Amino acid sequence: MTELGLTPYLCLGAFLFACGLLCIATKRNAVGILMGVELVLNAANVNFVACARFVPSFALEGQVFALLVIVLAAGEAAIALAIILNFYNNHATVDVDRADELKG
Amino acid sequence: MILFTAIASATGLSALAVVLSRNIVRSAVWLLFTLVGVSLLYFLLGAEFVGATQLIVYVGGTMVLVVFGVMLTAQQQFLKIRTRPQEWIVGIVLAGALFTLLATVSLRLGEGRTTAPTESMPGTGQLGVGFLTTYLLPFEIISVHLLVVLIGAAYLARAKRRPREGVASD
Amino acid sequence: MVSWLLATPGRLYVVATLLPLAACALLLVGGCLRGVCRPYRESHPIARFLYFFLGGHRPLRSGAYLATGAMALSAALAIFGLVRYLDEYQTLSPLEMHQHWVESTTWAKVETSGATAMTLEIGYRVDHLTALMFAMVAFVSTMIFVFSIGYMADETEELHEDHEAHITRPGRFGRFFLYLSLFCFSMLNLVIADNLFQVFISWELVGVCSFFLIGFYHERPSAAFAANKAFIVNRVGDAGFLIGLAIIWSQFGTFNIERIISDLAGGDPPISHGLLVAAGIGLFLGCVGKSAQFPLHTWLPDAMEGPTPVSALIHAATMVAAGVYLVGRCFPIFTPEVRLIIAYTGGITLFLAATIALVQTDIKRVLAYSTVSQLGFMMLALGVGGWVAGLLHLLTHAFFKALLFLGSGSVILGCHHEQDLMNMGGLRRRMPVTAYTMLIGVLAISGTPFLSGWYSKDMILSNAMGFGLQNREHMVLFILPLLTAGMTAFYMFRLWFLAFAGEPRGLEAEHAHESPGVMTVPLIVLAVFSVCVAWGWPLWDPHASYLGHLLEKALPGPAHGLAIDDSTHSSGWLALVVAASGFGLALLMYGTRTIDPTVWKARAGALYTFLREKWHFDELYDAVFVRPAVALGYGTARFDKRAVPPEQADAADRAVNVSSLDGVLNALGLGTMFFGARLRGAQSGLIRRYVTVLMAAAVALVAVLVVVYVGS
Repeated sequence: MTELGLTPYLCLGAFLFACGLLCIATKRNAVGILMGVELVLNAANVNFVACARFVPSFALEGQVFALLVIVLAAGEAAIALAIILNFYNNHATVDVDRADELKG
Repeated sequence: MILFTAIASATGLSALAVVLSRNIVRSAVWLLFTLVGVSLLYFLLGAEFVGATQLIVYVGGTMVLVVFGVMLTAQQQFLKIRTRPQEWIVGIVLAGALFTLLATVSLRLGEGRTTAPTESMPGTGQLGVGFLTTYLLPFEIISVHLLVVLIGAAYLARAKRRPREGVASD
Repeated sequence: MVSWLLATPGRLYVVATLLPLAACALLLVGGCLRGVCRPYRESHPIARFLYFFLGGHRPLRSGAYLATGAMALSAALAIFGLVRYLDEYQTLSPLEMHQHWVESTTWAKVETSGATAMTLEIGYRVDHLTALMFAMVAFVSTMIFVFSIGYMADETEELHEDHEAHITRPGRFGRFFLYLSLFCFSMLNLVIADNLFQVFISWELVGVCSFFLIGFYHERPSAAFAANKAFIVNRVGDAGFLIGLAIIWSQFGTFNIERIISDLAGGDPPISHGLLVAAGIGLFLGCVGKSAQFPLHTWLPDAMEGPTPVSALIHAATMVAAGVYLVGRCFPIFTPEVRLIIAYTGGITLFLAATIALVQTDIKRVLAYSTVSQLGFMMLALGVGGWVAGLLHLLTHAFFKALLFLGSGSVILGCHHEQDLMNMGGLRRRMPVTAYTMLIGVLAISGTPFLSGWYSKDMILSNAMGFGLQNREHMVLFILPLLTAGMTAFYMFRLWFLAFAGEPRGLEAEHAHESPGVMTVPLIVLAVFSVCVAWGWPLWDPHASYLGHLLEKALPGPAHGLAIDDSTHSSGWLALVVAASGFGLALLMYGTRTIDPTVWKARAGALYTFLREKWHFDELYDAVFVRPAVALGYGTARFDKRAVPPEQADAADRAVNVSSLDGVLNALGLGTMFFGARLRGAQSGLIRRYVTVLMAAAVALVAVLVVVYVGS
């Protein structure tokens, strides 16, 4: 409950963040990368709300930030999916390793 | 505390499963569970509005979007897309390092904040008032932002050779 | 105008100096104008007029007449100035003399911080030495100008064929007189200069003119080489000269010779002894170069590549005398140590050159080495303190050496450019004037009594003996000139006998003819002067020379003491004996052929070759200085060579490619391109790799921040 304090929440947030990064770095499927991004954003949200809870002056701001992040994440997911679909139309695959036309 | 441990471990395990599963559909499902877990954490922390919004928008909206994407880009050779072990090792090392660093910081930050204050978190009403007074500007900006996203996504996914349903946002 | 001149009679000398410069300028302008008008002579009437006015296709003779006239006028002014100077010297006080005959203006101010401004001046100072020297230079130059009109006549042809260089080229009559006039101007400027800076400018200018004149026939490789050699060897001496000048400038603050001498004579000279020695050695080095003393004597024999009037004027009478003149003028600057060095240098030189002259067969080479030897005499005399003796010998030597060179020029022209003594002979019947004037010259140089050379040589030997008796360890400074006097007589008479006595040994000598009057008249005039220029009353007393007495009046102050003049006549008798024996030996070997020279040559063997090859000095210098310098040049050039393309390069080229500057720069460029190509691989286009790199960077940054945060 509340005897745990701030630390466990922040650690969970850190864990989610690390998982999200790992997902982005290792998934070859473009949608998989999108999932990693969602995990990262959620980790940040957890941090915000936890801090809102345990730092009284931050109570309102934390929730506001978390809401804004959720909205922005949704928008970003929409755009990302549009891009992925375009990529799929052009290359008939969602393997991001095939998207190396910008190589030097 | 037990509640926290349960929810947190569930969320963490789901997140791990997202990363580790090879099937993209299974990853999507694990992501769903992770998001639900996070929402439960919000409820635990007393931020009911945020938790509700998380469920509605994230789980109900974004996840659906992701699943749509998975379905629309489905291919036979799903399972052949695999990453090499070297990349896994590099990724794990880096992620582990990052986790350790952040955990160290959070240990420091968390000192002295073990008890929650007695008053409860601001509720829906106060959030609403806050959005229309102090945080009016971000609110309006978000609105315009969403409009832009809508237009952009509609343009990007417009019909070319064969008609496709525009992927709309919320 | 005349009153302006007579108010400060010293200005006569300025006018006399500038006259040859004006002639040179006029010749230059005329020549340039002619060259400019030449391509337009068909199209423009004015150009056509000017072109033909200035000579047309052939060089214009009137340019030479103009130059000779200017020089003659200059000589007349010089003699007039001399007479007037001697006249005023009797009547006016020293202060008035100073006002009349010394003048200078500031040319440039050199501000030094704090101290008073130091200035560079141009000025003249006339005293006995200057007046006599100026008159001698002007007069001898005039004679040589006149002689050149005759000698250089084949340069007036439109196209002259050069037999040695095997080409045909336009005649260069005017150019010769241009250079000669410029030379005379610079020499006269040197003589009247009152400060070392002006001396230095003239010094360099005579060197430049010498370069032009030696390389007059510049299509011949030997002439071009000789001109280079003369200039470069002179430059070596000039480096020392500059060091001496720098020391003097920094210590005395002025270049004015009079002021330097008076500063030194005062109780507290502003210079330390060591620095004074260094300055003296520096100045003397310049003189060593200019006067062809050992070890910088190698240029003078090679300078005989120039036309004979050039050899007469520059390398006998005037330019090489400039070094001796400077030593004489700056005499108080030289400390006793430096004077000893001067004396020994002169001694070595006179002996060295005389031994080489014994075996030379080219008529001009014999005379060249004779000049070097006589200059050694002068330096030795100055070194042991015989100031009057050395400078008297300078004056007399100018006359008889010019005579000898002009005579040899007459011989060469008469024998159609044959210069080898072994192919001459019997010329006294075919060219009597030349033969007997040259005999007078030979007698003078050998020290025959009552001729001018006797007075000066005798004085030198008696001074040397006095010095030697005073300082027993330096007795060699008397023995050497004594022996050399004998050798001088020998080789000069050998020259005369080989050229004029006996029967012709070559085709050219058989068909020789006497030279025209324009060439023989200067010979006669110079012969007269060679006989009587040093006369005094009583005639048989060698110390009674009038010229010598005049010079004594110009003695610099007794700053460091002068030599004791040895009044005993034993040195005179010894000199006579030695000279007579030299003459006798020459007579026996070459005159009457009693002793066969070829036998002696065979007996001498290696010694003969050693002497013939000029003691191998040229080879020594070549090996020690020239080859390393050329190798250095090639080495550094190699550093800058363009890289050979790899497919055409062999092993040596590859080495050059790697080590040359081009190679280094190419390597830099190639290396950059190589690294660029390798780095390009990082831009793979793979998103995941980019993300991984980003992650790593982020982790690193956060780690840094955390360490700082946790640390604090």
